[in-house]
Amino acid sequence: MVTIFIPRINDDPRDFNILFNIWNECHDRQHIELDFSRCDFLKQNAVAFLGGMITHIKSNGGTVSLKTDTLIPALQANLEQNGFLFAMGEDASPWDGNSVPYREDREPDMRKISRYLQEKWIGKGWLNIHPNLIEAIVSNVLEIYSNAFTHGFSPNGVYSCGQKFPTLEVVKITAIDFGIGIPQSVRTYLHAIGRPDAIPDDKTLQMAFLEGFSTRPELGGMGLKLLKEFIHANKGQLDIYSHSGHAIIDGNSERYEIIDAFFRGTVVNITINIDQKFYYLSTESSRQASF
Amino acid sequence: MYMMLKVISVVGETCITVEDGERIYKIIHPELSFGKDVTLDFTGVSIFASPFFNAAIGQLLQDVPVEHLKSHLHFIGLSPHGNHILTRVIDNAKRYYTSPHFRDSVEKVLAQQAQDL
Repeated sequence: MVTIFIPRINDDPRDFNILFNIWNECHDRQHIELDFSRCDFLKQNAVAFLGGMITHIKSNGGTVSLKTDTLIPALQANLEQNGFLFAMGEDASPWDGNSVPYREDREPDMRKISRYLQEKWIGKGWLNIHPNLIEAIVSNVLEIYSNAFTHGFSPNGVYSCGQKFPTLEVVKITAIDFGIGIPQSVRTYLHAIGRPDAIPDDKTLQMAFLEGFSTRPELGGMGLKLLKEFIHANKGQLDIYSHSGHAIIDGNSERYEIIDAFFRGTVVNITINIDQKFYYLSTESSRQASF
Repeated sequence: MYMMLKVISVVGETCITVEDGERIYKIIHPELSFGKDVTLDFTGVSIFASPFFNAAIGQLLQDVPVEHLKSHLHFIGLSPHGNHILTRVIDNAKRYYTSPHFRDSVEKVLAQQAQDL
């Protein structure tokens, strides 16, 4: 039995490094215990990541004990309300409040995920968002789930959690899969078509975002491009972590870098502005769709 | 000859998945192949994603000439965002299917670029 002390976790790069180090410490152990006595806050990325990690360990025959008596009341209330504790097997039923629910999707039921995004995340009436922007946000986020199920080969599906910050006029969502990761997917594809595949992780992420590149033989490869364009226009931020690669897309730029930690799967963390002025109708196609 | 297909009656209010796109494709592909005019009515559909449009519309270019689709396939009732995604999917599909060496050359260039970086 090893005890992991969970610290306060935000969604900055160093916070993801913490999560990946926790994963590397825990994922092949049989018995772990999570202690929250050093934690006063977990952002949506930490909730989704820890939920996925715990489920992954349990599905491989391990046991994970949550020391819920070490949770401060505010954090315990949040993790009860959003369904995290219930999903982890604790006797703590979620309730319909202000938290955005923690979610596990074993199968690619995109209608259910779409309803979650619309009804539990941004469309519940907590936020004053133009219906066209809601549609654009949900459509773009669904591209992430679609990619995770299509390319990730995750053994346990996709784990996600959203969060809203009305005073900042932003919403966030994190989706995580514990599959093979984008770098492996890109390298496998390049190898299969006889191209050089000894490419650094950050460059594989860069390739995944480029127009005209897809790791599948059939028509596709639009999802990440569309999402990138949306984030640029929305002045939001998109971070993708996979293996040691980190892609950062924001309103002005895109950057790709190598991080110190390693995570075999893929984490997508999105921050979206909900102010109508960031609705990107002006950048949408002005011409009627036709051949 | 003319076919008007209400998309919502086939796949519901969301056009997201490849599977739903395939359902639309299987309905309209024979009609277009036989020279019928087809109009897809998206009224009532509010959520769109590119996998649906790739399967429903983009892959028509496999064996239906672009000029034929231009004059025989029409879209109505699309939201601004749905129109945006479909426009991008059609542009990508035209490159993919009408430029046989497009994908090969892109992969070659990208792999070389990545090695050089």
